[in-house]
Amino acid sequence: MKKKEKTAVSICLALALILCVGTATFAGGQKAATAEEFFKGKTINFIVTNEPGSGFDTYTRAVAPYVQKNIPGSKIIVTNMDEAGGIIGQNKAFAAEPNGLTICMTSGAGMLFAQLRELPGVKFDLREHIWLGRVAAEVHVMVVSAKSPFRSWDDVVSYKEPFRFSASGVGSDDYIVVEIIRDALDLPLEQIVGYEEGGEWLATVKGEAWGVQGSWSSVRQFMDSGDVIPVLQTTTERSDILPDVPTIVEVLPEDKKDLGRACASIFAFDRVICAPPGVPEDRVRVLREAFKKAFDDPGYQADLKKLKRPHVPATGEETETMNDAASLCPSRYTGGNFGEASEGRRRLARSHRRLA
Amino acid sequence: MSSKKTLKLSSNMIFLLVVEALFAYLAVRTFSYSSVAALMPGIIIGFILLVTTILVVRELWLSLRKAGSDAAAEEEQTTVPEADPAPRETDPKVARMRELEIIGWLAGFGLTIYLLGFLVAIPIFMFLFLRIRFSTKWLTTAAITIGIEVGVYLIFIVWLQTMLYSGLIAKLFIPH
Amino acid sequence: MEQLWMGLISLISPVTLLYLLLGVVIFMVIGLLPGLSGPVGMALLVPITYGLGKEAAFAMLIGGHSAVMFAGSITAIVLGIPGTGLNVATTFDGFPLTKQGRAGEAMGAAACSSAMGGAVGAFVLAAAIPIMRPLVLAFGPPEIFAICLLGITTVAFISKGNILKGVLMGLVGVFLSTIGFNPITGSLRYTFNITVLWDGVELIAVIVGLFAFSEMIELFVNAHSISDREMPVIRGIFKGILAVFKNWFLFLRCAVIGTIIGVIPGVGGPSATFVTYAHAVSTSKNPEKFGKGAIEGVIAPESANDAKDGGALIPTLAFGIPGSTTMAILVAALLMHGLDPGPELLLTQQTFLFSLVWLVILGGILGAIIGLGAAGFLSKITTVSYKILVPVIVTISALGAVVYRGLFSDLIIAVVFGIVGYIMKKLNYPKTTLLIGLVLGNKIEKSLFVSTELYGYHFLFRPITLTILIILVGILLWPFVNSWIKKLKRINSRTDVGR
Repeated sequence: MKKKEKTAVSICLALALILCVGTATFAGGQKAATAEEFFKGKTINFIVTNEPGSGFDTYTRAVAPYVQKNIPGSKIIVTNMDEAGGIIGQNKAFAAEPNGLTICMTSGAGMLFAQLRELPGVKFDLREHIWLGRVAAEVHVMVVSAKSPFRSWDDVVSYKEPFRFSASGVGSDDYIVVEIIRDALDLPLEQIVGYEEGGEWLATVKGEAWGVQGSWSSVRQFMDSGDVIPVLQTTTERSDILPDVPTIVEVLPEDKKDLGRACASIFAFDRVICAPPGVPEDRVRVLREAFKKAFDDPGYQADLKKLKRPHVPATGEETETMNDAASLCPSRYTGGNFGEASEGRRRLARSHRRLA
Repeated sequence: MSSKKTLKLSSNMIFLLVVEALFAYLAVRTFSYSSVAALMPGIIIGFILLVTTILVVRELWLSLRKAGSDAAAEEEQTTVPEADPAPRETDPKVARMRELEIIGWLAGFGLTIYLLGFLVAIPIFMFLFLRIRFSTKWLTTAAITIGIEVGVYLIFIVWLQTMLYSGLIAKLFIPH
Repeated sequence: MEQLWMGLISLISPVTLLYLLLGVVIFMVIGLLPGLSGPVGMALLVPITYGLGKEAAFAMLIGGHSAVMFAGSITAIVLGIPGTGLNVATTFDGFPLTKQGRAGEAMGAAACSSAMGGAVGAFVLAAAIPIMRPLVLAFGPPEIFAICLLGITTVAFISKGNILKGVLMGLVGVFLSTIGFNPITGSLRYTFNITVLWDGVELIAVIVGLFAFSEMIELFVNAHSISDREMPVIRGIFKGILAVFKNWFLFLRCAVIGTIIGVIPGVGGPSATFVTYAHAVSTSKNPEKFGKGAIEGVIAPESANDAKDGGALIPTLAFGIPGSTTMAILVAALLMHGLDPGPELLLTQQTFLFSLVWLVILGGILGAIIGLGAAGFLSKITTVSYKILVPVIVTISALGAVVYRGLFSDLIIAVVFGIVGYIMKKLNYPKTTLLIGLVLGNKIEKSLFVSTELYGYHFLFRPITLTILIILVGILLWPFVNSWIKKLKRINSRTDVGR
């Protein structure tokens, strides 16, 4: 029995060893001659730093098949890594083996703020990432509740009593921009955070809070139903979809206009795709080309139309310049412990509290 | 009988004291957080320490009571929902050995997964456990091991297309 | 009314029904694997439905989702491992029933309650379509707080006789829920620089550890299988189904409560099951039997967890604001097929909406039938030798723990909780209250915070909130009041006799 056991164990270990070596030779392989040949038969891991069903995820899954089509022989798997606000996914994308088989769809704005604020756990540097393209940039809009006394930006600015906006959590790019605007114009505005998923929208619709900031796709249905009114857009120029709404650059005083432009450029750096630093030039070229072709593909554009998602692409090279511009946002507005700043505001608001 | 009683009591006592110490440490940690962030956990930890202390005191009081049968009756009243209808008792020494053994298996399995990944670790674990440890029939062992491995492969790799953790060693063989 | 039937008719096409069946089977398999819950399955299936027509895609998704509820209940009953947070309450009485050899009965009751509960939820959904908007808008953070508080009172009920230990574990659970990133202040709590703890302790990992691993440790140490007794399963199933009809009023109440809780976005399904369980215990004539194999303890949570889906669809369809993660994915699927959730949808796509209602019902029924069909096979698992059961369940559970987030650290958490769970079991500390605390703790904190920010402490006096809180106090006090009334009656009758 003992001998039998020994044989069994050794067979088992041998099997394991063979499996390992087999995986090695099969997966390892020699250096491919060209970049195109390299991608043949390989699996590309497309990380999304957002949960399934989110806008980022939708875009990723929409574009992936078209990118795959343009990298012959490849296979793309989409992996969601939305933990810790996507930071873990971004870390993984940054530290991945720079062979071109890991790419990542991420929120440029969100990750930028995380990096500038030096959040613990951030192990990436957006300036070093290689950028492959952008699928879209949404206009981010500040809207006010139809139940509030506001009807336009002028109403908001001239209101002297403390009022409240809703937000889902400290640290989201929308939250930070509202804080920036508030500080720049010294508005008696307080953001209430802590709402559950989507709760912040309901709060504004109900009139519990008087406004909220979000991306256009999130806001649109409430605008269409007349529950909210757009008052400000975080762009450098008025967009086609909201020609009558002032931009952040317009409303900020002269000495703060650069800040406004910085915020707008951060949001321009919205849904972007990156690769880890160090991927060989020729493979980067293949990837960027594939994305570009995917963006131009009428099939992809039709899909986006069906999904009611705007198509505002940018090439890899263009995205690189966006990255540089966005990094210029002064860190004194994005750094520091937001918790403490907000607490002061909260105390102020409490003394003026009234029942909604 | 009385040795069994003391053994049972000290297990509970040890557990309670560990919990108390752990949360005392966490309480200290909590002081470094801002007042809003510390409010809820602070209150909770406060209550935890309170309840733990009450339980510790109760344990002490119970152990001071001499009558073994009284204590047994009291224990019966304190059964909780998942208690078996027919409690199974194993000889404590054997139980201890087996506890260590199963934890060893779990840890070993975990470590193997960490090093070699799921697809390699699973058959190794199944084989070692079924055949080597329990001398299950060859046919049964093979059937279950292969069945599970193939099932896992089909469901997770082919169908759901998730990336199963492939272990540290696999990372050494990534193509360049 | 006409559209109600139109909705049903639109489903009658072989393709749609085929996809319904496929969805049910797929979700059933996913739901049976401990740790793989509804959201994972939905997330993985949504892309597959890209190319399908509207009816077929949603037949697959919604119909299947109803099925996964039941599959999770199966593992909760047969193995004591809840498939999702929604099935935790089912283990309270379901698992003891299995150990008594009455698994068939438990499954029959669960299947029947689930299917019919889903139907109740669906009818409420259908009836509510015209008033969806104001209905959803009536609830806010104060109401969420009150309901979660109500859910926590379950802790008191299921640790009867050992309240202190139960409460302690409940508190520990609440504490665990505070670990991680706190969206209110933007600070991290108790993460000790471990990045993976940012989002806190993952619920699935804890469930897998606390229920699957610890149970396997226990089986191994004591060298036995889950149950020694075998009872004819088929007879058991019918007995279980009959029990639901016998307790029809309880079933109806729980289904309605489940639906209402489902309507409130942000509360979550688990709360519904805990609240209805507590309700069942407090309104029962012999509350002591709960936790030891009372069939009502299975009926109550099971009718709620399917009914809540009907409820959860209301905010999802009315606003695109998902009632749960599963619903969030559903919203994505809706958008993908060009259906914008919102008032437009409510007005223009009523036929489709009603077909969704029917899907919920049909999916539930189909799931119940298929699940029961496998019931015979499944309950045999309870008599399988631990030598085979342990490695298989450990493997599958390990996969379930890790696959959800793709993080190896979740496996470590699961193993740790497995060991802790085993210790807790030996020392008679309830595992379930810990889970209740973990599930509800975070929500209670956030909703309390927002409520006080908005309204100060006056939030307690908002009409709906106040009603719920009064109910809560009522439920807690009822046992005392009841026994006091009984005492009074006894005294009265004695004095009568004495005369």
